[in-house]
Amino acid sequence: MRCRECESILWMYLDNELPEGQRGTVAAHLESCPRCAQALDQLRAFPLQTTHLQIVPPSPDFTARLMQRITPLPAPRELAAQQHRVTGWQGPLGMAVAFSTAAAAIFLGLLSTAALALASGQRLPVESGGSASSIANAIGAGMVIAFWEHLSWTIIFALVGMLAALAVLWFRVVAPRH
Amino acid sequence: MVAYGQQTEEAVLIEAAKAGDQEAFRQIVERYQGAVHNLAYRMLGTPEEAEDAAQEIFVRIYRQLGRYDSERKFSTWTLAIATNYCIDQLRRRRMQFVPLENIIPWARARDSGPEGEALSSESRDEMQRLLKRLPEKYRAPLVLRYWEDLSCAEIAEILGVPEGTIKTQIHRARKQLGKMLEGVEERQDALSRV
Repeated sequence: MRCRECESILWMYLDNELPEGQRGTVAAHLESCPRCAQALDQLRAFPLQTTHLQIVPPSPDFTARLMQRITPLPAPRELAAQQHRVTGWQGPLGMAVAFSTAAAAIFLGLLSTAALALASGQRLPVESGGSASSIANAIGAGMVIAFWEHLSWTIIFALVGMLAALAVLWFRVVAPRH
Repeated sequence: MVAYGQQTEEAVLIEAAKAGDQEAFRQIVERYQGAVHNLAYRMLGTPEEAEDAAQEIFVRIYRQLGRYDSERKFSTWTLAIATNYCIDQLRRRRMQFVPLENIIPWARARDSGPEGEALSSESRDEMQRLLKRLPEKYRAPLVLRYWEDLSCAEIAEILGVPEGTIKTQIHRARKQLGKMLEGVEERQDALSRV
């Protein structure tokens, strides 16, 4: 038996809560391991037993004060039904809506960035002139540059998408608790 | 048979309370207020905080009662709500400003000195003082095991961690309590020798 294993059941050994077989294994380990034997002494120094422990009750007017807060509330069954109605977005549907909104926003962002890049990228090679292959290269290079220039649009759309997703998650997870 | 009778009686009370019978809910509160308040007191440290926490916990229990699944043991379900509330409070407290003596309670505890042996005197405050010195993560397993008399499996279910982790935490908590007590005794021995 390893010390780690012994550690988790040593207190059960002390409280006589172990089955016979495990008890023997722990006893054998304690003979050979001074560290665990010391740990047992420390456990013994504080004999935690249910009979020693007091239950501290609340003040005498506890129930009366509590019932003042409970009285205006509707029945628990009604409360559960209300929560179900209000949080119709809860469950897989809400999650699906949140994530597809975010995905759609990011896709739109990329699409618009690509469109803007295409529009401005086409202007670049016309100014530079030259052979067909260099025009093609320039269109490629211009589009890459233009894409990065318009990346801010992607970021804006992505942020909008994430905000939408967060809003759905808020209504789904956080708001129902209040 | 007695236990069976109590269980069915409780099930009747719960069903009535779910439907809006406030007298039935009052009886449930009477049954569990000791356990819930004691848990809050042991975990949070002061009677004032425990009283407020227990009130909040029972309002939560009422609000969630409609979704209580009768397959689960009611006492475990109740104590799960109570434990999670207290853990939340401890987490919140860590983010707020608190008086120094709340952060290092032993500073004050040492000043007043050890009065008698902790358990033989059964002094409520002594036990409470030792509990406050325990790391927060050990408090819930220890209180649920010894004051609320739950099994390690039930505690593991409440806290959402493996049973082995609970056993190790209880071991470490008890070992620390033993070390603290040895410290107390050593000081007493030193005093009696003078």
